[in-house]
Order: sequence, then C-alpha cells, then structure tokens
Amino acid sequence: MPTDTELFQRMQAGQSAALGLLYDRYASLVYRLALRILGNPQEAEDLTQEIFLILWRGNNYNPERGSLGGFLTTLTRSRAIDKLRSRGSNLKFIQRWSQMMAAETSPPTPFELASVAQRSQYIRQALSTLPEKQQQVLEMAYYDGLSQSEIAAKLNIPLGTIKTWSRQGLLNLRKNLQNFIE
Amino acid sequence: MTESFSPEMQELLAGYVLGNLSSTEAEQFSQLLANNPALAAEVAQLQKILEVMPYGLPEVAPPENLREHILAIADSEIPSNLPISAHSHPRSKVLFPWSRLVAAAAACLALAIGIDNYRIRQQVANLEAQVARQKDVIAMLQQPNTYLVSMKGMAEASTASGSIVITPGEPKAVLILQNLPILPPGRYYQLWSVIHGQKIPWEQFKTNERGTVFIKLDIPSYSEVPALMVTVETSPTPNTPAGPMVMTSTL
Repeated sequence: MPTDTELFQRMQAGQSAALGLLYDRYASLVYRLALRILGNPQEAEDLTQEIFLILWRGNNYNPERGSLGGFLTTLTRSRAIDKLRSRGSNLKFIQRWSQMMAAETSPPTPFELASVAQRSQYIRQALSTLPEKQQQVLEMAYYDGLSQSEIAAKLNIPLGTIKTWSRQGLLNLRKNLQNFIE
Repeated sequence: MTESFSPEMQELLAGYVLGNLSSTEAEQFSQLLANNPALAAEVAQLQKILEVMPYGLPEVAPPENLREHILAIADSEIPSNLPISAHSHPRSKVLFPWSRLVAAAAACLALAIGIDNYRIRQQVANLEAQVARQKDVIAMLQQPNTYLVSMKGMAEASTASGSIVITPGEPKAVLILQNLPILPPGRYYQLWSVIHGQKIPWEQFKTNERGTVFIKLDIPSYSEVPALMVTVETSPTPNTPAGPMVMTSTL
C-alpha cells in the first residue's frame, strides 16, 4: 500500500487519483472532526471539501515536517474554530504548524503505520481510560476552542482546577499513547 | 521522554501546549525553552498527542457524493506545482521532434507521450467537469430568481471580466471569469466578500491555461450577496487582503 507521502507526491505531480486515495484514507477523520466542532453536516461537508482542495492546491504541507494525519487534523480544527468564531481574527495556521513541528524526519511511528480505523480504535481506548473530568476539559479546549477561563466559567469550577485537569489529561493521554506515537 | 522531567516541568510543558500558562509561568517557560533544546522536542511530542485526539471521535462517513465532487473540482484545476513544461508547451512542439536528432527525439517523445497522455486524461476530465458545470448553470438560469453579479478587472487584470451566478436558496454559486492573467506558482486569486467594509475571504481559485475560471462556490452563511473583490495573494489562507486588487463587483 502506498504511504501517505508517496500519495502526496503523486498528487503534487498532478494525479488527482492520488488525491482520491488520500480522501479515502482521511475524509472520515476530517469530516468527523469538522462535524464535532461545527455541529452542522452542511458546514462540515463544505469544510471537508475546503481542506482537501487546500491539500490539492499544494505548497502548504511538507512531509518532512510531520504526518499528514496531524496536518489535516490541525488544519481542520484551526479552520473550523475560525469559522466558529467567524468574525474573530484568523491565526496564520500554516506558519504556526511549520514552527510547531520538529524539523527533522523521524522514522514512522507504529501509529503512522496503522490504518486510520486502527488509529481510531487505539485513541478511543486511550481516551476512555482518562478520568472523566480530564477528558471533558481537554475536549472543551480542543473542540470548542474555549479558553481555560471560559471553561472554568461554564463548569463553575475554579480556574486552577481546570488548568490542572487539562494538563493532567494531556499528560495521561500521552502516557497511554507513549509506545504507539513515539 | 516526559519521565525524565520533573512533575512540575511536565505540568509546564502541558500548559504550554494547551496554551494555558499564566504570565509568570510563560516567562519561566520561555527561559527554560531557550536553554534546553530537549524541551522543544517534548513540546512537539505533546502537540502530536493533541493532534491525534480527533481519531477518538465517533466515526461518521462524509456524504457519498463529496469525493466525486472534490475530484471534479481538482480535475478542473491545474495544480500549481506541476512542472511548467507539462502544461505550457504548445502541442505541435512536442509531437513532431522526429526530424531532429533521433536519439534525443526518442527521449523527448517518451516524455511527450507521457505528458500527452496526462494532458488527454486531464482534458477529458476537464471537459466532463465543464459540461457538468454548464448544465448546472443552465439549470440555475432557468430559475426565476437567479441573478448575476458582474465583476470587472482593474490594474494588471484590466481586460478581465465575468460574473457570479446566484440562485437564492441554492447552496452553490458559480463563478465565471475570463481574461485573467495566469499566475505563477505560489500566487493565488482570492475572492473576498465585502460586508460593511469588512473583507471576508470567500474562496481561492486558479485560472485554466487560457485565463478563464469556471468554478462552483459554496455560498457563505450570510445570505445577502455583498460587494465582492478579487486580489492576488501569496498565502493560501489569507485572512486579510495583502496583495493587489485585480477585480471588483460592479453592483
């Protein structure tokens, strides 16, 4: 099976069939994330289209700077939250993403070698072992784009506690995924 | 590895990635980051953990026709990073290299055939997509409430012209433009809506090799069609216009 990078390179050479294969691989991930954040199937569909056309129009993803799955989820989340805030200021996603990712190429992790369905199963399992509060706060920060103080106000819980929960949640999730992702 | 950092440091790292450091913590962390390159790798790792969270969402399949729709748009566009020679050579030049050097000709021919096959496939796909879009436009024009917003070129695109075809209640509009200069790779035409003086990015597009544009656009959530403008941008995702304005609507 061709790797993501091979497909991406074929797509860059103008083969839309390769875009089709990348779509088959990642559309459900992009769509479910868009739907989770935007909460509206039409908008999620439009955003999914937008994301894959951004990929097709090229020049923004660099395989040496991170996995395609990571690029797509980060781009989708960033665009969806921008849409959610719609009139708020957009952050320059591409720049942030390239700065964020480590520059050196590392060998593919077991996670990257697994299929999207296997990855999903694994992440679900890892998330389910988190204490409920930690999971909830992480999700509110990640999917709803809420700041820690907004979350604190929404849940009526002191800011310090919210911060601890989300940080511990992230660290626990990392512990659960360590062998898989690194 | 996170394990090699103290629990306090791990908290700082997680807070940094989550964007929830207090100003004192942020100051402390930026100093630590500057003096310890291993921390940057840690940050990248934690960032990866956040990125994979969406895999945990319940699986929902995107609508069935979306794949086909995206590929039709993709096929109707020439990717910006394709080698220039693959789409700018006139056909006559690549088809008859025989009379020159035979060996070189054979190599050229092999390349030409490859390019030509690609071109033919591309052309067929383009034509199919074009026919489908023309059918859609005809159907739109048959609606009683369909209207056009005219667009006029200016500056470096002074001969450009065209329209956006809109049917209220339909999710898609169609953008038809001609005589636009073909942009070099890395530059994009960006359509903007102008509402109460605020410019909101609508969609980015490319011309075909003849400088025409014929694409479907998603209608933005605001229902009224505002004033429109087109700029040339270097960012694939601009938030505000930075490049020169080349077209405006003539409302």
